[in-house]
Amino acid sequence: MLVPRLLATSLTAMSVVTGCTISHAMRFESREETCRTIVQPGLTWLGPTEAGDVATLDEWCKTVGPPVIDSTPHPSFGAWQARDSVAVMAWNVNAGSGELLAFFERELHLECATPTPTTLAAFSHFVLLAQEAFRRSAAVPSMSPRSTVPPRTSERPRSGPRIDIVETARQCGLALVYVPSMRNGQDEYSGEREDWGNAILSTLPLSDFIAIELPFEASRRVAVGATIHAPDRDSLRAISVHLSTFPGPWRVLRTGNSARVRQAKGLVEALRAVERLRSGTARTACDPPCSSNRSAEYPISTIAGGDLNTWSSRETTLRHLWEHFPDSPRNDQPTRGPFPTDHLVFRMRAGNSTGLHVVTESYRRVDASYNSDHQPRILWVRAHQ
Amino acid sequence: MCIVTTGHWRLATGHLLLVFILATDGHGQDGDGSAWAAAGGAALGLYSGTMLGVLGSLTPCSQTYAGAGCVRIATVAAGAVGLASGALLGATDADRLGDHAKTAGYGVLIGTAAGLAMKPLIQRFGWQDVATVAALGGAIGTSAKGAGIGLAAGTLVGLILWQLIPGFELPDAFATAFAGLAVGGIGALAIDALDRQTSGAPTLQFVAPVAVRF
Repeated sequence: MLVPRLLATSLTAMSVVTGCTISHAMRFESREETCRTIVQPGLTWLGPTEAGDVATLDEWCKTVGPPVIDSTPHPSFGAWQARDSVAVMAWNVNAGSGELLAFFERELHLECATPTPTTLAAFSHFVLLAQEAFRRSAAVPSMSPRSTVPPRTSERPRSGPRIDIVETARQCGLALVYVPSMRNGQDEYSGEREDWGNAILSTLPLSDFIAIELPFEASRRVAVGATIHAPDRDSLRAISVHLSTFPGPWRVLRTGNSARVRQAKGLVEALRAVERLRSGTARTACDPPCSSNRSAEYPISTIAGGDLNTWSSRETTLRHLWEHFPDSPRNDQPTRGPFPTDHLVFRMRAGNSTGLHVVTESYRRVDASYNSDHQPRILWVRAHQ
Repeated sequence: MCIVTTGHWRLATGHLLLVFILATDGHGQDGDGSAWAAAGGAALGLYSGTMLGVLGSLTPCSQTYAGAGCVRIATVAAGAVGLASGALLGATDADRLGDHAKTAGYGVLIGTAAGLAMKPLIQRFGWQDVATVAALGGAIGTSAKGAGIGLAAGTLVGLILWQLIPGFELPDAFATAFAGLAVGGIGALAIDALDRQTSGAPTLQFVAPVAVRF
């Protein structure tokens, strides 16, 4: 009797140990924690439904400050005109390492030092999807040493001043939405503390803000979204996203290394739920499998980009994202060491083949890293074919 | 079905301990196999095959659409091969099985030491992670020589292909190395079992329910 019992229990153990699928279902959030305080109307929160995720995310959430929204750029940038090209970039700025002002000046010809910022490049406007952007503020709460505060992100030495994302946006006259993901260490700087997360900087006005707390893997990650109004009453939704690197070995084995896949699926589910809400067919949650009906669920063109932490351009995470962003251009060039970690993915609005589109040949890697540990990606979006 | 509460690592650890107890029991026989040794061998083979199956398939499967589903298939297949090989080895040569159990024990010790060394260095590296590294050490240790040869061969092949084929990326080289380790480890146990079986020891027979219609 012992032998079959042993084998049966061993087989059970085998199925327990490996390849488990943990839910990536998402829901709208209404609870108000420090970091979820709505600083102005129009910010929609979504998060995972999995109980383990919620508890851990709440602990991390308590340690960061509120989001920052400044929806209006300097008026000199003007509106998106029918013939304009808009450059969309994704860049992990590595907290204080990335030299944003130098990047704006050399790549986008935006001189922030002048009283009236002006762009001189071939494209008329830009949208930067930034990851690991840091903010220093007294609004970031002081925490006890026992709280969930990760160590300060290691930065490369830099020559110029270390300016946070809020001050960068102010100096350059850019619209900004910034949602912190986690603390940048316990250190205090004259009563101020630092957190870091995802941000969108734009020369065009931003609206309809979204914060999506991704399913928890190695650390808290919050994707941030905003809508930009294009010509002919069209719109572009931009999402800045940063997926996890690797969780511990136990979780890697238990989930079959699906940490980033789960976060990517969570992101897609959250976007679908938002589209349903906007189109008046909202449900409070989108329990998978959701319908992939393109016309019903994607009434707006969407571009998502950022540091996906992918090892290769064939990784499961990317394959799933491309499935939901079928109009994505492809580029295999590495952006961090030998790895193509950063990507931009695009989904055209349903039923509008002549509307907003990506200029496929414009999709490339920026060769300089501007002191960050990642190189930016860039592509152009145009209003008409 | 998949159970995901946080307490299951204890269950898995319990099975791991059971494996070594049973394997040591088998070693107590005088060279010939027994039901106890076969059971111990099956458990040891299942544990080793499963862990190596996960480890070896993680990177290759991360390059596929199926992802975790691919890992699950590879793990079950590797576990089944390990189980059959271990049972066969236990049934034919308990001494040899004892050698595998002993090297698995060394692997657990080395894995534990490695896990403990990593704990203060890696953020959010918990005790479950230490136990996982220890368990991986034991799985590799079960057929350490085969796993080592497989890893070396996989690494060499991976690096050569990385240099020669433009579409073969660095993760593919890692995948080849880990797959080599897993194939080497599981293969060594299987070859060992088949060697003993063909040298005059008792034979295990399986009936396959297959009907052929004309």
